[in-house]
Amino acid sequence: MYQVVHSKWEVLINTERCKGCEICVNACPQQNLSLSDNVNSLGYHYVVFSEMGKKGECTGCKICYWVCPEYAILEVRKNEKADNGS
Amino acid sequence: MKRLIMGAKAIAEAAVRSGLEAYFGYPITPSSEIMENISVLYGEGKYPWFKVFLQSASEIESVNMLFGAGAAGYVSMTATSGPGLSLMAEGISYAYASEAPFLIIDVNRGGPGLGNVAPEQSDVSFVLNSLGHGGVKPIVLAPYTVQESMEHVHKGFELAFAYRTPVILLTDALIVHMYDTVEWDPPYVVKPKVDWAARGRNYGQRHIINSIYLDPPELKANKERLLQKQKEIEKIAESECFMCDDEMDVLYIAIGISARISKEAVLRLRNEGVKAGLFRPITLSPLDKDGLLKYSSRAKKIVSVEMNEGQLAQEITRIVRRDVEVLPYLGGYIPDVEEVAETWR
Amino acid sequence: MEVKQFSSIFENGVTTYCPGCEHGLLLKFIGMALDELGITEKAIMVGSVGCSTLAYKFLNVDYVQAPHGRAPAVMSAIKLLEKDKVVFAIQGDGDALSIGIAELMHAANRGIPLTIFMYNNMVFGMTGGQMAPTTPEGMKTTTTPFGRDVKQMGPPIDACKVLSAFPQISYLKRVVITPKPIYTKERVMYSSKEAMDSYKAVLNAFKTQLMGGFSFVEFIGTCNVNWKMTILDSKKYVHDVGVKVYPPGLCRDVYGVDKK
Repeated sequence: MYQVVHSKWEVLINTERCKGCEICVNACPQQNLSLSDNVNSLGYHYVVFSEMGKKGECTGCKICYWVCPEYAILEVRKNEKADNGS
Repeated sequence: MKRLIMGAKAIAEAAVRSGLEAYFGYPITPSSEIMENISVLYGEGKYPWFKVFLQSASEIESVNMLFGAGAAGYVSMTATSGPGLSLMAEGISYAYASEAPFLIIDVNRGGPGLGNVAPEQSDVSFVLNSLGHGGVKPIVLAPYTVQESMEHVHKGFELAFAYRTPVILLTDALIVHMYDTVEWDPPYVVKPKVDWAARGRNYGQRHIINSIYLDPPELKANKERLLQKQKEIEKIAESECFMCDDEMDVLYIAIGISARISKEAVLRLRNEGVKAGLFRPITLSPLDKDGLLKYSSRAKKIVSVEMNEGQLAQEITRIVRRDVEVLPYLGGYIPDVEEVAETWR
Repeated sequence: MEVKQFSSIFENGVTTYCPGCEHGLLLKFIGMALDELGITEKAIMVGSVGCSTLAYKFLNVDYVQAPHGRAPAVMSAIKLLEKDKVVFAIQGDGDALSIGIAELMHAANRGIPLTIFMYNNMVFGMTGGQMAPTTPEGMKTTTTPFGRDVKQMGPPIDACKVLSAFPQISYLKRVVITPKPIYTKERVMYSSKEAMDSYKAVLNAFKTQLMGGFSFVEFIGTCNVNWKMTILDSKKYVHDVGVKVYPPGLCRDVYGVDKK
């Protein structure tokens, strides 16, 4: 359910809540979010977080956290396991 | 100690002394005096459990406030009449399905429509068949004197919370406005245990007062639970049979003021040697079917004396499965003792 | 490190709303605000009829299901008897301004400390998109297939104007909860300002009740399924048409919670 990443910030997603509305996909300034090819148990393609977006790494701006209407984006926080320098 | 008191004042006193915690009402003749008397008792501040008195903006607001008070587990009551009770049907249906308790006093006036403000008993069909959409069976009590009205207010609070259901006290414009002698004190203050009430999670289990069940199996389960409760409630059925010890020439069936007048007719007939009796349901719902069948089987003739076109007779016929004669009084006329007595032939 | 959870939101709770609807956003903010203010254990939610009915499957607070339009009456009784609890309701625009307008106005007039959130999507959502009192002139709905005719039905009703008439309301506000589409050369993005403003409004509405005042917040949101629009088009519609009929703003703030 939760993804472990190596970037400075991580976005925690509850994929079972996501309904694939793509508001967060559009809202993310770094274009770090996209819909997966897989579906959840509700039948929706859920959103996944990538370490490096089209525009750059996640900056922790939390816009996705604010605009998600399903509370599928649970938290945007500093990644404790991040490798410094990669 | 016996005292002379007006019906409305007695009912108000009975409610407040029995443990009324909240009153929400809307004025409607002939019930307004009950609310007026309660407002005086509230203002006097002698009863610490009587927390809220509020005159609402309509009967719709009244019944929904009663529903809120019942959902939060508080003893609440209102008094209304026919047109108001019609408006309350939605709220009573919700309360019945969600199991929120409260007491409604229906002071039956002339109907249907705007009618008049003279006494009638024309809400019997309304409260017995389904007091709201979906099959709603509240408990219905039918007092016939001012004293019994006081006892029934106390009993109404008790039953409402014992079974978590709305309770209707079916009285009429005459009983509420007459002066009568009473000797009554509340046996105890009704203080029900309400661990199911919605008063906040309080670090414990969540409480839900709800009537929506979108899946048919869930809704079926809820209705079955209510029907099972209906069977339990049958146990409290009560009736009185006056002079019904042996075979009878005529058995009168009546509630409320009609019962009081019919009692007088029975006494006069007995004086003349006619074997007359009176079956008086005390709980109109649940109706004492066993008592009715037992006593009606001893009578050659059954006459239903009612201030409507025969609503109670319809219910009785369904149970006894034989002809029931009706002595109807429409428009606000009160039964006449001689007319009642003449029907024994 | 454990993920942060809100005790007011069910851990496995999923909203029942259509993809793209901001109703879920409102529920999420209510859950967040209840926890931030520490009032989850003494909150009582009164449900109304409409899309907001199923909020009880998502928010883990005590719940009483009121009839259509009657939530303000049920809430008034509960609050008068349980004065230290926080009593709130989510109503739709049809629930609050059509069938329930009398109950809402009388509750507002009394000013009993309650909190009402009205999600205004300018139609009756749950029943399939019929015209509501808030439907703008000319908007096509299932009962106005040729557009709302103001000659017969009158203009749309403005809740803030109606409730401003009552002097004992303490917090009256209208916010847009729909994220605003931002157009760049390459793509469309969404702003998060509306979401953050809505969260502040929810928080301040609860704060007003805790201070003893009646609060009412109107949220202008989308109903993309019943408007028969794509998610992006519905967001555009709110910001092109919706905000012109219902300009967001603060109508009253007696305790000054917005300034703090």
